[in-house]
Amino acid sequence: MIIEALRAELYKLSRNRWSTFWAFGFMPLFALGMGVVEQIVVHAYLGDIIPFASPLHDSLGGLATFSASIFQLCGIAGAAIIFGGEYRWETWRAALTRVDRAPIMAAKMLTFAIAISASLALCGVARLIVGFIDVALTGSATWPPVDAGGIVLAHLIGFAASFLQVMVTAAFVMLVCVVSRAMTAGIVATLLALVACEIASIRGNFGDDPIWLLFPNISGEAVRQAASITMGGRDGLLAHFAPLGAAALVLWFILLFAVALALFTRQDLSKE
Amino acid sequence: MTAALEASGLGKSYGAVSALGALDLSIPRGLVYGVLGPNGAGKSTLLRLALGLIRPSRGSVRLLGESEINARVLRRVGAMIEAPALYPFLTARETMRAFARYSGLNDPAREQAVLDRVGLTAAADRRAKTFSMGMRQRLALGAALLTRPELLILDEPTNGLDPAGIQEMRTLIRDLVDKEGVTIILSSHLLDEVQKVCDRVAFINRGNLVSEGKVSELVAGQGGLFLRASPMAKAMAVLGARGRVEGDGIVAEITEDAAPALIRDLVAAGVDVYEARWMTLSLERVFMSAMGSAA
Repeated sequence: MIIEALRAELYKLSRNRWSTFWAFGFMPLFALGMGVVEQIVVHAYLGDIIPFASPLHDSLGGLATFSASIFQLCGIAGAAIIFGGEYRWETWRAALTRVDRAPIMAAKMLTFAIAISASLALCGVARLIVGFIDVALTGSATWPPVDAGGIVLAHLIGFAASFLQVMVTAAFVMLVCVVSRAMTAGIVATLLALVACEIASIRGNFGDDPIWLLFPNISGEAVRQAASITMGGRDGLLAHFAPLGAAALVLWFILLFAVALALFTRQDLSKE
Repeated sequence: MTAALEASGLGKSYGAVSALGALDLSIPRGLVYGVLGPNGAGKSTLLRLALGLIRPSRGSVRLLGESEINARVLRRVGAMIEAPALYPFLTARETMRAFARYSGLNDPAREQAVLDRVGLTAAADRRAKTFSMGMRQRLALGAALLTRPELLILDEPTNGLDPAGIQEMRTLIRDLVDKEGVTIILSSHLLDEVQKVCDRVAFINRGNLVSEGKVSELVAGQGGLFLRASPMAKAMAVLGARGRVEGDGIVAEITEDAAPALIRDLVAAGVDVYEARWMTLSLERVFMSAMGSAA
Protein backbone atom coordinates (compact mmCIF):
# COMPACT_ATOMS: atom_id res chain seq x y z
CA MET A 1 0.00 0.00 0.00
CA ILE A 2 2.88 2.35 0.72
CA ILE A 3 4.19 1.87 -2.83
CA GLU A 4 0.78 2.78 -4.26
CA ALA A 5 0.62 5.86 -2.05
CA LEU A 6 4.17 6.78 -3.05
CA ARG A 7 3.29 6.53 -6.74
CA ALA A 8 0.28 8.80 -6.16
CA GLU A 9 2.28 11.32 -4.13
CA LEU A 10 5.10 11.49 -6.68
CA TYR A 11 2.56 11.87 -9.47
CA LYS A 12 0.81 14.73 -7.67
CA LEU A 13 4.11 16.45 -6.96
CA SER A 14 5.18 16.14 -10.59
CA ARG A 15 1.91 17.71 -11.77
CA ASN A 16 2.05 20.56 -9.24
CA ARG A 17 4.78 22.14 -11.35
CA TRP A 18 5.11 25.66 -10.00
CA SER A 19 5.07 24.67 -6.37
CA THR A 20 7.52 21.87 -7.04
CA PHE A 21 9.84 24.23 -8.89
CA TRP A 22 9.94 26.75 -6.06
CA ALA A 23 10.28 24.07 -3.41
CA PHE A 24 12.88 21.83 -4.98
CA GLY A 25 14.09 23.32 -8.26
CA PHE A 26 14.80 26.89 -7.31
CA MET A 27 17.71 26.34 -4.90
CA PRO A 28 19.94 24.48 -7.42
CA LEU A 29 19.24 27.17 -10.01
CA PHE A 30 19.91 29.85 -7.39
CA ALA A 31 23.18 28.12 -6.42
CA LEU A 32 24.23 27.98 -10.07
CA GLY A 33 23.06 31.47 -10.97
CA MET A 34 24.57 33.17 -7.94
CA GLY A 35 27.78 31.21 -8.40
CA VAL A 36 28.14 32.29 -12.02
CA VAL A 37 27.43 35.94 -11.15
CA GLU A 38 29.88 35.72 -8.25
CA GLN A 39 32.63 34.34 -10.54
CA ILE A 40 32.05 36.97 -13.21
CA VAL A 41 32.02 39.83 -10.69
CA VAL A 42 35.08 38.57 -8.80
CA HIS A 43 37.16 37.92 -11.90
CA ALA A 44 36.04 41.09 -13.72
CA TYR A 45 36.45 43.56 -10.88
CA LEU A 46 38.69 42.01 -8.25
CA GLY A 47 40.95 39.76 -10.28
CA ASP A 48 42.22 36.42 -9.07
CA ILE A 49 42.14 37.20 -5.36
CA ILE A 50 42.35 33.48 -4.72
CA PRO A 51 44.82 32.24 -7.31
CA PHE A 52 43.44 28.73 -7.53
CA ALA A 53 40.07 27.10 -8.02
CA SER A 54 38.85 23.99 -6.25
CA PRO A 55 35.73 22.54 -7.94
CA LEU A 56 35.41 19.55 -5.60
CA HIS A 57 35.46 21.74 -2.52
CA ASP A 58 32.85 23.87 -4.26
CA SER A 59 30.62 20.85 -4.90
CA LEU A 60 30.98 19.77 -1.26
CA GLY A 61 29.98 23.29 -0.29
CA GLY A 62 27.02 23.02 -2.65
CA LEU A 63 25.74 20.07 -0.66
CA ALA A 64 25.62 22.39 2.35
CA THR A 65 23.30 24.82 0.58
CA PHE A 66 20.42 23.99 2.94
CA SER A 67 22.51 24.31 6.11
CA ALA A 68 21.24 27.76 7.06
CA SER A 69 17.63 28.22 8.16
CA ILE A 70 16.88 30.90 5.58
CA PHE A 71 18.05 28.63 2.76
CA GLN A 72 15.78 25.87 4.09
CA LEU A 73 12.77 28.04 3.27
CA CYS A 74 12.23 26.36 -0.09
CA GLY A 75 12.41 22.90 1.44
CA ILE A 76 10.06 23.97 4.21
CA ALA A 77 7.57 25.18 1.61
CA GLY A 78 7.89 21.87 -0.21
CA ALA A 79 7.27 19.92 2.99
CA ALA A 80 4.28 22.13 3.81
CA ILE A 81 2.77 21.47 0.38
CA ILE A 82 3.22 17.73 0.83
CA PHE A 83 2.06 17.47 4.46
CA GLY A 84 -0.36 20.40 4.68
CA GLY A 85 -1.84 20.32 1.19
CA GLU A 86 -4.53 17.78 2.01
CA TYR A 87 -5.76 20.01 4.86
CA ARG A 88 -5.76 23.07 2.63
CA TRP A 89 -7.59 21.43 -0.28
CA GLU A 90 -9.75 19.32 2.07
CA THR A 91 -8.74 16.20 0.19
CA TRP A 92 -8.00 13.91 3.12
CA ARG A 93 -11.50 12.49 2.87
CA ALA A 94 -10.87 11.50 -0.74
CA ALA A 95 -7.39 10.07 -0.18
CA LEU A 96 -8.06 8.21 3.07
CA THR A 97 -10.83 6.13 1.54
CA ARG A 98 -8.09 4.55 -0.59
CA VAL A 99 -5.00 4.33 1.60
CA ASP A 100 -4.52 3.88 5.36
CA ARG A 101 -3.18 6.78 7.38
CA ALA A 102 0.28 5.46 8.29
CA PRO A 103 1.23 4.38 4.74
CA ILE A 104 0.09 7.67 3.23
CA MET A 105 2.14 9.74 5.69
CA ALA A 106 5.14 7.46 5.21
CA ALA A 107 4.70 7.86 1.44
CA LYS A 108 4.58 11.63 1.83
CA MET A 109 7.81 11.57 3.83
CA LEU A 110 9.46 9.35 1.20
CA THR A 111 8.25 11.72 -1.52
CA PHE A 112 9.83 14.63 0.29
CA ALA A 113 13.03 12.63 0.83
CA ILE A 114 13.28 11.82 -2.88
CA ALA A 115 12.58 15.40 -3.96
CA ILE A 116 14.96 17.01 -1.47
CA SER A 117 17.67 14.46 -2.31
CA ALA A 118 17.44 15.45 -5.95
CA SER A 119 17.49 19.12 -4.99
CA LEU A 120 20.53 18.65 -2.75
CA ALA A 121 22.40 16.63 -5.36
CA LEU A 122 21.64 19.29 -7.98
CA CYS A 123 22.94 21.98 -5.61
CA GLY A 124 26.20 20.02 -5.43
CA VAL A 125 26.31 19.71 -9.22
CA ALA A 126 25.52 23.42 -9.60
CA ARG A 127 28.45 24.40 -7.40
CA LEU A 128 30.70 21.90 -9.23
CA ILE A 129 29.84 23.67 -12.50
CA VAL A 130 30.60 27.01 -10.84
CA GLY A 131 33.89 25.52 -9.67
CA PHE A 132 34.85 24.56 -13.22
CA ILE A 133 33.90 28.05 -14.44
CA ASP A 134 36.28 29.31 -11.75
CA VAL A 135 38.96 26.95 -13.10
CA ALA A 136 38.44 28.30 -16.62
CA LEU A 137 38.67 31.90 -15.46
CA THR A 138 41.58 31.35 -13.06
CA GLY A 139 43.52 29.07 -15.33
CA SER A 140 44.51 26.68 -12.58
CA ALA A 141 42.91 24.21 -10.22
CA THR A 142 43.74 22.41 -7.02
CA TRP A 143 42.50 18.99 -6.12
CA PRO A 144 41.99 17.39 -2.69
CA PRO A 145 44.96 15.39 -1.35
CA VAL A 146 42.89 12.21 -1.17
CA ASP A 147 42.00 9.44 -3.61
CA ALA A 148 38.71 9.11 -5.50
CA GLY A 149 37.25 6.97 -2.71
CA GLY A 150 37.93 9.72 -0.17
CA ILE A 151 36.28 12.30 -2.42
CA VAL A 152 33.17 10.16 -2.90
CA LEU A 153 33.01 9.40 0.84
CA ALA A 154 33.34 13.07 1.72
CA HIS A 155 30.52 13.95 -0.66
CA LEU A 156 28.34 11.17 0.74
CA ILE A 157 28.94 12.41 4.30
CA GLY A 158 28.27 16.00 3.24
CA PHE A 159 25.09 14.92 1.51
CA ALA A 160 23.99 12.90 4.54
CA ALA A 161 24.58 15.86 6.86
CA SER A 162 22.35 18.21 4.91
CA PHE A 163 19.83 15.50 4.07
CA LEU A 164 19.34 14.49 7.71
CA GLN A 165 19.13 18.10 8.81
CA VAL A 166 16.45 18.88 6.22
CA MET A 167 14.57 15.68 7.06
CA VAL A 168 14.38 16.79 10.70
CA THR A 169 12.96 20.07 9.46
CA ALA A 170 10.45 18.19 7.28
CA ALA A 171 9.32 16.08 10.23
CA PHE A 172 8.80 19.29 12.21
CA VAL A 173 6.75 20.73 9.34
CA MET A 174 4.69 17.54 9.29
CA LEU A 175 4.03 17.81 13.02
CA VAL A 176 2.98 21.46 12.79
CA CYS A 177 0.74 20.79 9.78
CA VAL A 178 -0.99 17.89 11.57
CA VAL A 179 -1.49 19.84 14.80
CA SER A 180 -2.56 23.10 13.13
CA ARG A 181 -4.25 21.55 10.06
CA ALA A 182 -2.76 24.47 8.12
CA MET A 183 -0.09 24.66 5.44
CA THR A 184 0.89 28.23 6.27
CA ALA A 185 1.44 27.39 9.93
CA GLY A 186 3.84 24.66 8.83
CA ILE A 187 5.95 27.22 6.97
CA VAL A 188 5.87 30.10 9.45
CA ALA A 189 6.28 28.10 12.67
CA THR A 190 9.12 26.01 11.24
CA LEU A 191 11.07 28.95 9.86
CA LEU A 192 10.76 30.81 13.16
CA ALA A 193 11.82 27.69 15.07
CA LEU A 194 14.91 27.26 12.86
CA VAL A 195 15.95 30.90 13.21
CA ALA A 196 15.43 30.65 16.98
CA CYS A 197 17.58 27.50 17.04
CA GLU A 198 20.40 29.25 15.19
CA ILE A 199 20.35 32.23 17.53
CA ALA A 200 20.09 30.09 20.66
CA SER A 201 22.87 27.75 19.61
CA ILE A 202 25.59 30.23 18.61
CA ARG A 203 27.79 29.07 21.49
CA GLY A 204 27.43 25.50 20.28
CA ASN A 205 29.76 26.24 17.37
CA PHE A 206 32.76 26.22 19.72
CA GLY A 207 32.44 22.46 20.14
CA ASP A 208 33.06 22.42 23.88
CA ASP A 209 29.95 20.57 24.97
CA PRO A 210 27.99 17.83 23.15
CA ILE A 211 24.73 19.11 24.68
CA TRP A 212 24.62 21.64 21.83
CA LEU A 213 24.11 18.72 19.45
CA LEU A 214 20.47 18.83 20.53
CA PHE A 215 20.23 21.70 18.05
CA PRO A 216 19.90 20.14 14.57
CA ASN A 217 21.91 22.94 12.96
CA ILE A 218 24.88 22.20 15.25
CA SER A 219 24.56 18.45 14.63
CA GLY A 220 24.44 19.02 10.87
CA GLU A 221 27.48 21.30 11.02
CA ALA A 222 29.43 18.67 12.97
CA VAL A 223 28.81 16.08 10.25
CA ARG A 224 29.62 18.59 7.50
CA GLN A 225 32.95 19.42 9.14
CA ALA A 226 33.71 15.69 9.22
CA ALA A 227 33.01 15.55 5.48
CA SER A 228 35.43 18.41 4.89
CA ILE A 229 38.15 16.66 6.89
CA THR A 230 37.57 13.45 4.94
CA MET A 231 38.51 15.41 1.82
CA GLY A 232 41.63 16.87 3.39
CA GLY A 233 40.11 20.04 4.72
CA ARG A 234 41.15 21.80 7.90
CA ASP A 235 39.92 20.48 11.24
CA GLY A 236 36.71 22.00 12.57
CA LEU A 237 35.76 22.59 16.17
CA LEU A 238 32.74 20.31 15.87
CA ALA A 239 34.11 17.54 13.65
CA HIS A 240 34.87 15.18 16.54
CA PHE A 241 31.15 15.21 17.41
CA ALA A 242 30.14 14.02 13.92
CA PRO A 243 28.93 10.48 14.87
CA LEU A 244 26.97 11.90 17.81
CA GLY A 245 25.63 14.64 15.58
CA ALA A 246 24.41 12.15 12.98
CA ALA A 247 22.76 10.08 15.71
CA ALA A 248 21.09 13.19 17.15
CA LEU A 249 19.65 14.08 13.74
CA VAL A 250 18.34 10.55 13.22
CA LEU A 251 16.77 10.53 16.70
CA TRP A 252 15.18 13.94 16.18
CA PHE A 253 13.70 12.75 12.89
CA ILE A 254 12.32 9.53 14.39
CA LEU A 255 10.86 11.37 17.39
CA LEU A 256 9.15 14.13 15.40
CA PHE A 257 7.88 11.76 12.72
CA ALA A 258 6.54 9.29 15.29
CA VAL A 259 4.73 11.98 17.28
CA ALA A 260 3.21 13.49 14.10
CA LEU A 261 2.16 10.05 12.86
CA ALA A 262 0.64 9.08 16.21
CA LEU A 263 -1.38 12.30 16.29
CA PHE A 264 -2.46 11.92 12.68
CA THR A 265 -3.63 8.32 13.04
CA ARG A 266 -5.87 9.42 15.92
CA GLN A 267 -7.02 12.68 14.38
CA ASP A 268 -10.71 13.25 13.74
CA LEU A 269 -11.11 14.56 10.23
CA SER A 270 -14.55 16.04 10.79
CA LYS A 271 -13.37 19.08 8.89
CA GLU A 272 -9.95 19.13 7.33
CA MET B 1 -26.12 -11.27 3.21
CA THR B 2 -24.49 -8.81 5.60
CA ALA B 3 -25.74 -5.24 5.71
CA ALA B 4 -23.96 -2.55 3.73
CA LEU B 5 -23.72 -0.44 6.86
CA GLU B 6 -24.65 -1.41 10.38
CA ALA B 7 -24.54 1.09 13.25
CA SER B 8 -24.99 -0.13 16.77
CA GLY B 9 -25.35 2.45 19.49
CA LEU B 10 -23.13 4.64 17.33
CA GLY B 11 -22.45 8.09 18.71
CA LYS B 12 -20.05 10.96 18.41
CA SER B 13 -19.53 13.86 20.78
CA TYR B 14 -17.29 16.88 20.52
CA GLY B 15 -16.82 17.95 24.11
CA ALA B 16 -20.27 18.56 25.51
CA VAL B 17 -21.86 18.68 22.08
CA SER B 18 -23.36 15.44 20.82
CA ALA B 19 -23.25 15.25 17.01
CA LEU B 20 -24.71 11.77 16.94
CA GLY B 21 -26.60 10.21 19.86
CA ALA B 22 -26.64 6.43 19.96
CA LEU B 23 -27.76 5.38 16.52
CA ASP B 24 -28.97 1.89 15.69
CA LEU B 25 -29.35 1.51 11.96
CA SER B 26 -28.96 -1.29 9.45
CA ILE B 27 -28.76 -0.43 5.76
CA PRO B 28 -29.37 -3.44 3.51
CA ARG B 29 -27.51 -4.02 0.27
CA GLY B 30 -28.76 -3.63 -3.27
CA LEU B 31 -30.83 -0.46 -2.95
CA VAL B 32 -30.66 3.31 -2.74
CA TYR B 33 -30.89 4.35 0.89
CA GLY B 34 -31.55 7.96 1.84
CA VAL B 35 -30.33 9.46 5.07
CA LEU B 36 -32.41 12.55 5.72
CA GLY B 37 -32.44 15.19 8.36
CA PRO B 38 -32.18 18.93 8.92
CA ASN B 39 -28.84 20.73 9.07
CA GLY B 40 -26.83 19.51 12.03
CA ALA B 41 -28.89 16.34 12.35
CA GLY B 42 -25.78 14.16 12.22
CA LYS B 43 -25.97 12.87 8.63
CA SER B 44 -22.41 13.82 7.64
CA THR B 45 -21.14 12.66 11.03
CA LEU B 46 -22.68 9.25 10.38
CA LEU B 47 -21.08 9.06 6.94
CA ARG B 48 -17.66 10.19 8.23
CA LEU B 49 -17.86 7.61 11.02
CA ALA B 50 -18.69 4.94 8.44
CA LEU B 51 -15.62 5.92 6.42
CA GLY B 52 -13.29 5.98 9.42
CA LEU B 53 -12.58 9.69 9.03
CA ILE B 54 -13.68 10.27 12.61
CA ARG B 55 -13.66 7.87 15.53
CA PRO B 56 -16.86 7.01 17.42
CA SER B 57 -17.27 8.20 21.00
CA ARG B 58 -19.53 5.21 21.66
CA GLY B 59 -20.97 2.22 19.87
CA SER B 60 -19.66 0.63 16.70
CA VAL B 61 -20.11 0.63 12.96
CA ARG B 62 -19.68 -2.20 10.46
CA LEU B 63 -19.09 -1.45 6.81
CA LEU B 64 -19.79 -4.28 4.32
CA GLY B 65 -19.64 -6.63 7.28
CA GLU B 66 -16.21 -5.46 8.46
CA SER B 67 -15.87 -3.98 11.92
CA GLU B 68 -12.40 -2.57 11.29
CA ILE B 69 -12.63 0.34 8.89
CA ASN B 70 -9.40 0.34 6.90
CA ALA B 71 -8.33 0.80 3.30
CA ARG B 72 -8.93 -2.89 2.54
CA VAL B 73 -12.69 -2.45 3.04
CA LEU B 74 -12.76 1.19 1.95
CA ARG B 75 -11.42 0.24 -1.49
CA ARG B 76 -14.74 -1.55 -1.98
CA VAL B 77 -16.50 1.74 -1.23
CA GLY B 78 -16.73 4.93 -3.26
CA ALA B 79 -17.43 8.10 -1.34
CA MET B 80 -18.21 11.71 -1.97
CA ILE B 81 -18.57 13.56 1.32
CA GLU B 82 -19.75 17.18 1.50
CA ALA B 83 -18.07 19.52 -1.01
CA PRO B 84 -16.05 17.76 -3.74
CA ALA B 85 -12.51 17.06 -2.52
CA LEU B 86 -10.21 17.79 -5.47
CA TYR B 87 -6.64 18.92 -6.10
CA PRO B 88 -6.94 22.33 -7.79
CA PHE B 89 -3.69 21.93 -9.76
CA LEU B 90 -4.71 18.65 -11.41
CA THR B 91 -6.81 18.31 -14.54
CA ALA B 92 -9.81 15.98 -14.53
CA ARG B 93 -7.74 13.27 -16.22
CA GLU B 94 -4.85 13.75 -13.80
CA THR B 95 -7.28 13.65 -10.87
CA MET B 96 -8.46 10.24 -12.04
CA ARG B 97 -4.84 9.11 -12.44
CA ALA B 98 -3.87 10.30 -8.95
CA PHE B 99 -6.84 8.61 -7.26
CA ALA B 100 -6.31 5.47 -9.34
CA ARG B 101 -2.74 5.31 -8.05
CA TYR B 102 -3.90 5.76 -4.46
CA SER B 103 -6.29 2.86 -5.04
CA GLY B 104 -3.61 0.65 -6.57
CA LEU B 105 -5.20 0.76 -10.03
CA ASN B 106 -3.33 1.04 -13.29
CA ASP B 107 -6.10 1.10 -15.86
CA PRO B 108 -6.16 4.21 -18.08
CA ALA B 109 -9.11 2.80 -20.02
CA ARG B 110 -11.16 2.68 -16.81
CA GLU B 111 -10.18 6.28 -16.02
CA GLN B 112 -11.37 7.37 -19.46
CA ALA B 113 -14.58 5.34 -19.17
CA VAL B 114 -15.41 7.01 -15.86
CA LEU B 115 -14.76 10.47 -17.32
CA ASP B 116 -17.12 9.57 -20.16
CA ARG B 117 -19.74 8.31 -17.75
CA VAL B 118 -19.81 11.49 -15.68
CA GLY B 119 -19.83 13.65 -18.81
CA LEU B 120 -16.40 15.24 -18.45
CA THR B 121 -14.72 13.94 -21.61
CA ALA B 122 -14.60 17.38 -23.22
CA ALA B 123 -13.20 18.96 -20.04
CA ALA B 124 -10.78 16.14 -19.22
CA ASP B 125 -7.68 18.29 -19.71
CA ARG B 126 -8.90 21.31 -17.79
CA ARG B 127 -7.71 21.94 -14.26
CA ALA B 128 -10.22 21.26 -11.50
CA LYS B 129 -9.82 24.81 -10.17
CA THR B 130 -11.48 26.14 -13.34
CA PHE B 131 -14.52 23.88 -12.93
CA SER B 132 -17.99 25.01 -11.93
CA MET B 133 -19.54 23.46 -8.82
CA GLY B 134 -21.55 21.06 -10.96
CA MET B 135 -18.44 19.91 -12.85
CA ARG B 136 -16.54 19.48 -9.59
CA GLN B 137 -19.42 17.38 -8.32
CA ARG B 138 -19.25 15.20 -11.44
CA LEU B 139 -15.49 14.78 -11.14
CA ALA B 140 -15.73 13.80 -7.49
CA LEU B 141 -18.43 11.29 -8.38
CA GLY B 142 -16.18 9.91 -11.12
CA ALA B 143 -13.35 9.50 -8.63
CA ALA B 144 -15.74 7.64 -6.33
CA LEU B 145 -16.74 5.30 -9.17
CA LEU B 146 -13.17 4.57 -10.23
CA THR B 147 -12.75 1.33 -8.29
CA ARG B 148 -16.12 -0.17 -9.30
CA PRO B 149 -17.34 0.09 -5.69
CA GLU B 150 -19.87 -2.27 -4.11
CA LEU B 151 -21.10 0.59 -1.97
CA LEU B 152 -21.33 4.24 -2.92
CA ILE B 153 -21.73 6.89 -0.21
CA LEU B 154 -22.92 10.22 -1.57
CA ASP B 155 -23.41 13.28 0.59
CA GLU B 156 -25.60 15.84 -1.18
CA PRO B 157 -24.70 14.53 -4.67
CA THR B 158 -26.93 16.98 -6.55
CA ASN B 159 -25.44 20.12 -4.98
CA GLY B 160 -24.57 22.60 -7.69
CA LEU B 161 -26.10 20.57 -10.50
CA ASP B 162 -28.54 22.14 -12.96
CA PRO B 163 -31.93 20.45 -13.53
CA ALA B 164 -30.56 18.38 -16.43
CA GLY B 165 -27.59 17.38 -14.27
CA ILE B 166 -29.90 16.37 -11.43
CA GLN B 167 -31.87 14.17 -13.80
CA GLU B 168 -28.65 12.62 -15.15
CA MET B 169 -27.50 11.97 -11.58
CA ARG B 170 -30.82 10.32 -10.77
CA THR B 171 -30.55 8.08 -13.83
CA LEU B 172 -26.94 7.22 -13.02
CA ILE B 173 -27.82 6.31 -9.42
CA ARG B 174 -30.71 4.08 -10.49
CA ASP B 175 -28.56 2.43 -13.20
CA LEU B 176 -25.78 1.70 -10.73
CA VAL B 177 -28.21 0.00 -8.38
CA ASP B 178 -30.55 -1.69 -10.87
CA LYS B 179 -28.00 -2.80 -13.48
CA GLU B 180 -24.74 -3.13 -11.58
CA GLY B 181 -25.95 -4.13 -8.14
CA VAL B 182 -24.24 -1.27 -6.33
CA THR B 183 -25.63 -0.17 -2.97
CA ILE B 184 -25.97 3.58 -2.58
CA ILE B 185 -26.32 5.54 0.62
CA LEU B 186 -27.10 9.17 0.00
CA SER B 187 -27.99 12.16 2.04
CA SER B 188 -29.80 15.08 0.51
CA HIS B 189 -31.94 18.05 1.33
CA LEU B 190 -33.88 17.70 -1.92
CA LEU B 191 -36.66 15.50 -0.63
CA ASP B 192 -38.46 15.41 -3.94
CA GLU B 193 -35.30 13.94 -5.51
CA VAL B 194 -34.88 11.51 -2.64
CA GLN B 195 -38.45 10.33 -3.10
CA LYS B 196 -37.79 9.74 -6.80
CA VAL B 197 -34.56 7.85 -6.38
CA CYS B 198 -34.48 6.16 -2.95
CA ASP B 199 -35.94 2.80 -2.02
CA ARG B 200 -35.67 3.27 1.75
CA VAL B 201 -34.99 6.26 3.94
CA ALA B 202 -34.03 7.04 7.51
CA PHE B 203 -34.95 10.30 9.19
CA ILE B 204 -32.33 11.55 11.62
CA ASN B 205 -32.79 14.50 13.93
CA ARG B 206 -30.40 15.79 16.61
CA GLY B 207 -28.26 12.71 16.21
CA ASN B 208 -31.05 10.22 16.72
CA LEU B 209 -33.07 8.00 14.40
CA VAL B 210 -36.62 9.32 14.15
CA SER B 211 -38.10 6.85 11.69
CA GLU B 212 -37.02 4.48 8.96
CA GLY B 213 -38.71 2.54 6.23
CA LYS B 214 -39.49 1.95 2.57
CA VAL B 215 -40.33 5.16 0.76
CA SER B 216 -43.39 3.55 -0.84
CA GLU B 217 -44.71 2.51 2.59
CA LEU B 218 -43.98 5.84 4.24
CA VAL B 219 -45.96 7.78 1.66
CA ALA B 220 -48.64 5.16 0.93
CA GLY B 221 -52.22 5.53 2.22
CA GLN B 222 -51.46 8.82 3.87
CA GLY B 223 -52.48 11.10 1.05
CA GLY B 224 -55.69 12.99 0.50
CA LEU B 225 -58.42 13.46 -2.09
CA PHE B 226 -58.25 16.78 -3.88
CA LEU B 227 -61.68 17.96 -5.00
CA ARG B 228 -62.79 20.83 -7.18
CA ALA B 229 -66.47 21.03 -6.46
CA SER B 230 -69.35 23.52 -6.35
CA PRO B 231 -70.83 24.81 -4.22
CA MET B 232 -67.88 24.50 -1.85
CA ALA B 233 -69.94 25.28 1.25
CA LYS B 234 -72.19 22.31 0.59
CA ALA B 235 -69.19 20.08 -0.08
CA MET B 236 -67.57 21.18 3.18
CA ALA B 237 -70.80 20.42 5.00
CA VAL B 238 -70.66 16.84 3.71
CA LEU B 239 -66.95 16.48 4.60
CA GLY B 240 -67.14 18.06 8.03
CA ALA B 241 -63.87 17.85 9.94
CA ARG B 242 -62.34 15.68 7.22
CA GLY B 243 -62.16 18.58 4.75
CA ARG B 244 -60.04 21.68 4.45
CA VAL B 245 -60.03 24.35 1.79
CA GLU B 246 -56.78 24.57 -0.18
CA GLY B 247 -56.59 27.10 -3.01
CA ASP B 248 -59.59 26.74 -5.29
CA GLY B 249 -60.35 23.25 -4.06
CA ILE B 250 -60.84 21.07 -1.03
CA VAL B 251 -58.57 18.41 0.35
CA ALA B 252 -60.45 15.53 1.96
CA GLU B 253 -58.28 13.74 4.51
CA ILE B 254 -59.54 10.22 4.02
CA THR B 255 -58.05 6.86 3.06
CA GLU B 256 -57.83 6.01 -0.62
CA ASP B 257 -60.43 3.23 -0.14
CA ALA B 258 -63.02 5.71 1.10
CA ALA B 259 -62.76 7.99 -1.95
CA PRO B 260 -65.50 6.44 -4.18
CA ALA B 261 -68.05 6.48 -1.35
CA LEU B 262 -67.26 10.11 -0.57
CA ILE B 263 -67.73 11.13 -4.20
CA ARG B 264 -71.09 9.31 -4.26
CA ASP B 265 -72.15 11.15 -1.06
CA LEU B 266 -71.16 14.50 -2.56
CA VAL B 267 -73.15 13.87 -5.73
CA ALA B 268 -76.11 12.66 -3.72
CA ALA B 269 -75.96 15.90 -1.70
CA GLY B 270 -76.22 17.95 -4.91
CA VAL B 271 -72.56 18.91 -5.18
CA ASP B 272 -71.13 19.17 -8.69
CA VAL B 273 -67.70 17.46 -8.75
CA TYR B 274 -65.47 18.86 -11.49
CA GLU B 275 -62.23 17.17 -10.45
CA ALA B 276 -61.30 14.45 -7.99
CA ARG B 277 -57.64 13.51 -7.76
CA TRP B 278 -55.84 11.29 -5.24
CA MET B 279 -52.75 13.06 -3.89
CA THR B 280 -49.94 10.91 -2.60
CA LEU B 281 -48.39 12.29 0.53
CA SER B 282 -45.00 13.69 -0.37
CA LEU B 283 -41.87 12.55 1.41
CA GLU B 284 -41.43 16.17 2.37
CA ARG B 285 -44.67 16.10 4.34
CA VAL B 286 -43.69 12.80 5.96
CA PHE B 287 -40.33 14.35 6.80
CA MET B 288 -41.87 17.48 8.28
CA SER B 289 -44.31 15.39 10.26
CA ALA B 290 -41.54 13.13 11.55
CA MET B 291 -39.34 16.09 12.47
CA GLY B 292 -42.30 17.79 14.14
CA SER B 293 -43.10 14.79 16.30
CA ALA B 294 -39.43 14.39 17.16
CA ALA B 295 -39.09 18.01 18.29
